[in-house]
Amino acid sequence: MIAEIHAGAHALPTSTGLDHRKMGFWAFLGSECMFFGSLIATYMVYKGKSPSGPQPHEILNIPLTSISTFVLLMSSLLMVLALAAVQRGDRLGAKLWLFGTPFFGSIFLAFQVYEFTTFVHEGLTLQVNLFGGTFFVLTGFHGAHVSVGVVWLLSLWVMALRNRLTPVDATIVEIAGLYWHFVDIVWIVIFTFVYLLQ
Amino acid sequence: MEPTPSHPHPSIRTYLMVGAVLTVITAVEISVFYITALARYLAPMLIVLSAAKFSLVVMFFMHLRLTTASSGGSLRARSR
Repeated sequence: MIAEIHAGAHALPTSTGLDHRKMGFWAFLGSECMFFGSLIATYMVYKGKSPSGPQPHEILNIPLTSISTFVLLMSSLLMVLALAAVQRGDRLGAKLWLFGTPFFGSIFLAFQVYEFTTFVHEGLTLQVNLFGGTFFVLTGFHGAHVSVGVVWLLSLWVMALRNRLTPVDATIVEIAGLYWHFVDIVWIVIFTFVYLLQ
Repeated sequence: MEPTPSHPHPSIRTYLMVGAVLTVITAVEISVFYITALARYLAPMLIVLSAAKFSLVVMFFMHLRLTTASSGGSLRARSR
């Protein structure tokens, strides 16, 4: 009875018929679109306007970034598998996929740390030219978002380990999933416009 | 206000198929990047492929296709 009241209190629909938490989160993601849109636009405006190197074609490692892109894409797949497991009450699946998603996110972050370290050693820093400044700010903010997502998903994994994630709680996993997929689609755009369209 | 009945999400099979398609599109993007003969068409091809990946993630993984359908139905029911 208490569980039903608890579930009902968190499932208030909006005038659109959507859960108010999901509606609010979509609004937040809209603001995030504007945030990353401005960073990507800034990168594109200053593209090719650095008088001195290193230039993108000299330093960007496409094979390495392709692997990390694939890893992040697959983490999105694991995220929907985690949500499906929570929705159908599959505790083992929920534990497995809720660990797999942030684990893949951590691999992506490890690739990014390696890439940043290599670039700094090769002379590309925030201050050296316009490419360095716009590149590090854009990909750095994306990496910060991935880090937040990893911590968020690990907290859900701990809840799953304690058997505190039931089908009633599927919405909180779905909202974390919305965030994770958003981070993924931002990377899809960054990979195309920063790495492949040099 | 009564809550809208929840709509079923895509099946695991659908998720796996979308994951496979995303992998294939990424592989095509990387291949196109290395094929010098396609350099002239690189930008439009990559933008289309990127938009396809973006749409697949938003429609299937973020369930926007189902969310739009359910909220649209709810609004129509409310306006009657």
